[in-house]
Amino acid sequence: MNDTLLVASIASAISSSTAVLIAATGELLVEKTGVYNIALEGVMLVGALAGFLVDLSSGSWLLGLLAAAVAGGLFALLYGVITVLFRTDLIVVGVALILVAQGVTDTLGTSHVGQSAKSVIPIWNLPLLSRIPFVGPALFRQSIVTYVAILLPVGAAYLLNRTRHGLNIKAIGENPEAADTSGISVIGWRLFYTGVGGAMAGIGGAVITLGIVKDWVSDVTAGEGWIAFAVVFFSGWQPGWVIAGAYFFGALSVLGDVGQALGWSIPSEFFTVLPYIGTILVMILRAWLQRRRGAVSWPAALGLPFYRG
Amino acid sequence: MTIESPRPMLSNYAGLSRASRLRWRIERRAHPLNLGLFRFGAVFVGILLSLAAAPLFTSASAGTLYSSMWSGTLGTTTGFENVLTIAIPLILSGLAASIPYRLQLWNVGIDGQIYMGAWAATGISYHLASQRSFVIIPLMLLAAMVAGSVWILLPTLARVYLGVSEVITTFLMNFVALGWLMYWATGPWYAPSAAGGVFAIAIPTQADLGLLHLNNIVVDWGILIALGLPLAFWAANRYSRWGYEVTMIGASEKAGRYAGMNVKRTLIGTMLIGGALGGLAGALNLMGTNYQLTPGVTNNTGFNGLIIAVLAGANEIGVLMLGIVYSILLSAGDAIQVVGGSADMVFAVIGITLIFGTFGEAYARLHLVRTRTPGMSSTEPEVGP
Repeated sequence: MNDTLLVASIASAISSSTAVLIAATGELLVEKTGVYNIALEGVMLVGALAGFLVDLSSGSWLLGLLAAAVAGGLFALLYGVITVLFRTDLIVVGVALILVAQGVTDTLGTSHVGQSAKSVIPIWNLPLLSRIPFVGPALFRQSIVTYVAILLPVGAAYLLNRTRHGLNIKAIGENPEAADTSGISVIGWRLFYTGVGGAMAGIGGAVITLGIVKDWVSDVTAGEGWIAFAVVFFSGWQPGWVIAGAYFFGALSVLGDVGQALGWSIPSEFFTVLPYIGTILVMILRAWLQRRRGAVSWPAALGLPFYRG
Repeated sequence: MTIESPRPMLSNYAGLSRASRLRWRIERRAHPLNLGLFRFGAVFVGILLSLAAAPLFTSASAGTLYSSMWSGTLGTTTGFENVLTIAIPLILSGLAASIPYRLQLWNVGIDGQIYMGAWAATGISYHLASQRSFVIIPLMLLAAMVAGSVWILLPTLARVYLGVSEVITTFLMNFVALGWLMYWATGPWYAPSAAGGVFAIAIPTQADLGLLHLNNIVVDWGILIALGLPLAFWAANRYSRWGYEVTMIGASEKAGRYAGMNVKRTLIGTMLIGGALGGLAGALNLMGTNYQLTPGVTNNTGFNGLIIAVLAGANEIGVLMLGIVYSILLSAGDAIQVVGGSADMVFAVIGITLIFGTFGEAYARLHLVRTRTPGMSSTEPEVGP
């Protein structure tokens, strides 16, 4: 493999991980409060379309991301209200909302299929660092959002491990009854973080339409929401491993381009399915390693509805 | 901490508490209402509301919209044939989800099993192209069921032995199956098509399912499988040993284990049956509708089947009935495309009816009460045994 190709592949792997990384970090925070948003794919889809449409009409990618955050946040909040407040089944409602998101985005986006985003998220060459041979072009000539995305899990780790606020989040996810007794509104916090996680997933979706694919096709997220969901499981609910999981996915998703460039005689479909099969296999591997250590890592109240008294 | 009964004594203390104030709260009902009744009722309310709202989302006038819906479903022979044809894979997908769901296992990978079933059936039909129908058709159905089971095997083993959530893994397998199908349909089995789209070479004509003539209604005999299997599984669940084990383990894995049942074997077997039914749905769709391997062999059928299973509360007769209700809905969705409706809006409608269903069930389980501030109830001393 020559250097230019390797550099381009690494750069592309990092940029295509961005959407998953942002969505998975948001989902990690949600799950730390004891709720899992399985409608993540739908939330990303809603964000992707909202961001794209606002970008088209306003000509500003920043407004697009903002709109995606609002739309994703509201859509996730809908999920939160139905599941957290009315104590309905998370998986059932998640599947339903994914279908709703598919139907609605397909309908609203029909007339925009194939259109390109008006303003795309710009590339920012980091001063000095981007001039380092090899490493610079591979790592430090990314879109602005990509740099921010790497900081998000770091921020999440700080929030969860170093602040009182984070301690409350963890208390709600581990032992909601105890949190409730100490005066924390379990339902309120859960709803709030479902919204926050949704806003981040919405931004993740818009990163796809405004920074990675740069146009609109129906079902543009192509399972990245599910991958983000899987990455959180893979991470063992640790922010650092979220980064690793997202980049692993990114690396698998650019392998096809590498193969094509090098003229490997492997069918392109193999590379298309690689991120999915890879995600399944690492989830299994991770669970197997965890079983051997005998550690349980998910928040104890994950997925359980909260009833007081 | 979870106490089933509400606290009727609460209001008596209320005046004593300084912090108390009246607030609305959602609490569990002491005696839940009939879950199935409220779920079904809410689904029908959801369908009616969606129908009422439909004219707002299309350019056609309300009159044309409703008349095209009616003639596309129950109003005409063609419409009714269409409903029955769509119902075949839908009911089978519903079963594919509902049988594992009895054990709280989720088969979210039915679309993938449909792809694999159709793929396996296609492969068999090419190899046995010189054989007669009575040889080739059973072998195709069998191969499809095996392929569907194989497709769910890895997620099942990961779930049973390592606790890896089957919701994610079964779903991700859908993408892998689609890639597999695309490879065969665009590569070794590719058939150049003028119309565009991905299609493999057509299966031999003797592999097509025959047609049933009921008065003037013509439908392929896959409908008999779709009507018969729910009844067979309903009976098996009530009268067979397997059905008893599934019911027992579904209620409590621990109880099943204490009773000496092989829990793991039942979990795995039930998932594999789900996968086989998904594969069967794919083969029947191929042999009765498409006649060519194509990604169009499923159109969200798996997800719709999952929804049917959940709304039916994993009852096979409920799956059968809701399968027909939803195939009417999907046929209506097809029909309104002609007059300018959106093709995918019907999926949103299906999602909305599911949410209505969950709300209906929530209403049967929960109620809104106005009580004194809950802060008090948690400071009440717990009375020990």
